[in-house]
Amino acid sequence: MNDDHELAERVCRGETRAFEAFYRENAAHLQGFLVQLLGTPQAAEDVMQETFLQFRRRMNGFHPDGSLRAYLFGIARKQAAEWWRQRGPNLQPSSEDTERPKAEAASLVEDAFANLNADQRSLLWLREVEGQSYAQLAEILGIPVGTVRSRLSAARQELRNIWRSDRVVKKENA
Amino acid sequence: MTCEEAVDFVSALCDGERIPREVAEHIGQCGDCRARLRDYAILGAELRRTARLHSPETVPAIEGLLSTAEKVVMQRAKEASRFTGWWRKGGEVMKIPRFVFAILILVIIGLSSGLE
Repeated sequence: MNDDHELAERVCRGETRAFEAFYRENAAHLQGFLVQLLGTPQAAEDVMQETFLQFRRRMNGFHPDGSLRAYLFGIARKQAAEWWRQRGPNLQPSSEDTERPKAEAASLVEDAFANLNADQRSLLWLREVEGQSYAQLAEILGIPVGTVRSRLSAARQELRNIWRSDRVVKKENA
Repeated sequence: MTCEEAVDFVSALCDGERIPREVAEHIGQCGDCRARLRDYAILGAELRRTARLHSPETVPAIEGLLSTAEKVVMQRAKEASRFTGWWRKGGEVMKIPRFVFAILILVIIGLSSGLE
């Protein structure tokens, strides 16, 4: 029995300490990811809490061969989509309407990243920052591994293009 | 093999995924693909640095997520661990053998019941 399966069973049995340990280990990571999807720390905090509640209620949906973290992030992604849906069709995630503080961007990379669309931001974040494997990304996003590969490639190309063009503009203005 | 055909594999290589040998050979010989690979590595490292800078300093306490019943269970568990901690500490600092301590307790109980 792997660690994730054992932990899932303990959470299922209602062991508060098991859930607490999992929360402490993952809450900050999940909140950081949700800021990328939702744009504001407050929204990220709200959705993060709702995600953990859903996670606990839906433990029977966890596949024993999967990763518990991937399962959690998958729920978070759906909760974030629901959060946007409740705000109506005119308010969908994009680089423009999320409130990432471009003016405060500490680097060209951060600025370029803020200009990607929400799907690309979340995919790159999960891969580069959270270190999720291709199989885990496929589980989180509900897409085949081959599609993960091509989408990651497209996101990196886009990020690189924006980053390079920003560098040219900066050099010209200098 | 062209750069266009290799482009998705450059990204996969950046992630440590296995790629076909002929693609790896192309990337090894092509300046543009090597530059792309280098840029992807730089961008990834910079994203991780940014994430560390913006990592939330605090997250909400878990108590907010637990039901009232669960909070009561947690409180009882804390109290129980406090008592067992006191008992364990007492045992560690005891200067006399435990069976002597037990006999002493029995003697005290016997004497106090005899006084009534």
